[in-house]
Amino acid sequence: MTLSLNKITKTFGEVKALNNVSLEFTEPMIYGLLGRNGAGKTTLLNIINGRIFPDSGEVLMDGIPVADRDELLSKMHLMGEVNYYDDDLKLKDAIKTADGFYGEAFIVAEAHRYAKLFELDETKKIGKLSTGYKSIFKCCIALALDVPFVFFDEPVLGLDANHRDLFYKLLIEDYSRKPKVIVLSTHLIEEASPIIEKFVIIKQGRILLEKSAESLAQYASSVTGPKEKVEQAVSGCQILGRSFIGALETAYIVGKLSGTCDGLTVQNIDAQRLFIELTNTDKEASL
Amino acid sequence: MMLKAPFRKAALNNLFAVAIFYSFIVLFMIVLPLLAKVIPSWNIHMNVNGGYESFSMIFMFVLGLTCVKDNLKACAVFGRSRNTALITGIMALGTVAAVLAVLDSVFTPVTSIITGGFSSSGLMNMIYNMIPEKPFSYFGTYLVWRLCLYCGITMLGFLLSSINYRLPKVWRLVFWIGFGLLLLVGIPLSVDNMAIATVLARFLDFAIASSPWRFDVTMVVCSAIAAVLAWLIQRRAPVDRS
Repeated sequence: MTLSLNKITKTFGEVKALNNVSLEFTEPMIYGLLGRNGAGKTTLLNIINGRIFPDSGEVLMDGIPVADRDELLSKMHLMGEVNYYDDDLKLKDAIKTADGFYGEAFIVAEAHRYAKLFELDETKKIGKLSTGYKSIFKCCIALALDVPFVFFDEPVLGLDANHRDLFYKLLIEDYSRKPKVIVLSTHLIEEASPIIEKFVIIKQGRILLEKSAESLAQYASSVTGPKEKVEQAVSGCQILGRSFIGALETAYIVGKLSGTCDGLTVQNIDAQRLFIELTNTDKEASL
Repeated sequence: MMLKAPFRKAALNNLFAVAIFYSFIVLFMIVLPLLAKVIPSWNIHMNVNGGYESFSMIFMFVLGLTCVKDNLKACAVFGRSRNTALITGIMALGTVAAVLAVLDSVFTPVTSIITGGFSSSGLMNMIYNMIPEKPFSYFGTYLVWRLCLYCGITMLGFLLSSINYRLPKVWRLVFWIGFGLLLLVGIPLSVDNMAIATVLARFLDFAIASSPWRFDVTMVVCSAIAAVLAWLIQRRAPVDRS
């Protein structure tokens, strides 16, 4: 099953949140959707799931437009940042409601199991939960679904380190049992990157980079050493950014350093560093 | 379309509200008149013009106002389209209208018997001055009349709520103040104008006051228009974050 976004544009007043975005989710895989605040991640996920509508472009599932089609919309689920659940609903009733809507695609026993693992009190009303537990509850619903596309928008918002760790473990467990397209939108790149198989970086409403974890590791490197030597070594390279500590300079470049690098340390850079260098504004880069 | 689950959810939510509302109304309509009879020293005098339907109308209007957002949110979370949200919302309101029409039709004679002829003139009686010569036909006519009345009223609430849903916060305030002014000032002032008053009176006489069946048709047409307008408003509505 393929989910494709075809030239999606969305404007809010003067702000172009998404600008001609085209993207495809094909194989069952864990995607990481990364972007700075206001980059357009949530807008993109909301459009995919029919919560808002694009100004132009369309979302297609196997070539069929998703908008206004229940049979296609019900093959996706977005665990969003905003709580759309009825605050007066008890957790156990919300699980029943999810069961009613998704039918066989929702595994009730798993939802209860996840709730138990996270120590959620199912007799509590959703409105009475803390921000963290609201996120946890929404994660439990999303994890218990057996649909081809599941999207998580800031799933670990307000979760403590133990719960975050448990969430990632359960996500992997769920994915290995029921392979599907999982899209994880998060700011906690360092934490999430070990489980991400494909990175999609979005900047100012445009897709900046789309690479598998393996090719991302080879995509850029850092060169550290005395300033003059570094400048000499990286001349002619595509430089993503620079940082300085005293007389030492680190330059972040696309690809590997060719030629000699005596006295210089050359390393692959991790996803978070690459993300920072790619999405830094000029002002931030100059600091 | 996958209507069953969203309809079930919306209908159950609404029927729960009906149960609370009706328990209170029945207590009010039966217990108070009985108390008035049993304990005359309490000196309770009751005269409810409009009968059960005067309460049910207000309830249906409020229900129409409240159900738009809840239904849209539920459908957005669980993978249903705007069309499904709208259709199931209207279906659920129609179900409640039917339940209330039946309850009102049953409880009106029951109340009358229990309270011993306690006066609760129904709206239809008041408008058309009908005499129930054939009880079954009268019951049926009144039942359908109530159903159409409740559908019309609830769809008005549904449409107003849909407009409110799409407006930015400041415009919502302007809209509701404007709506209030229209009802309280605009219409009374327009009726002062002879030409407008004549047109309005002719329309009301033709569409509402001339016969219960014509009233039914008017209400069905108005409900259909409100549903189409609500669909146009909601079909591309973003899900409200509040």
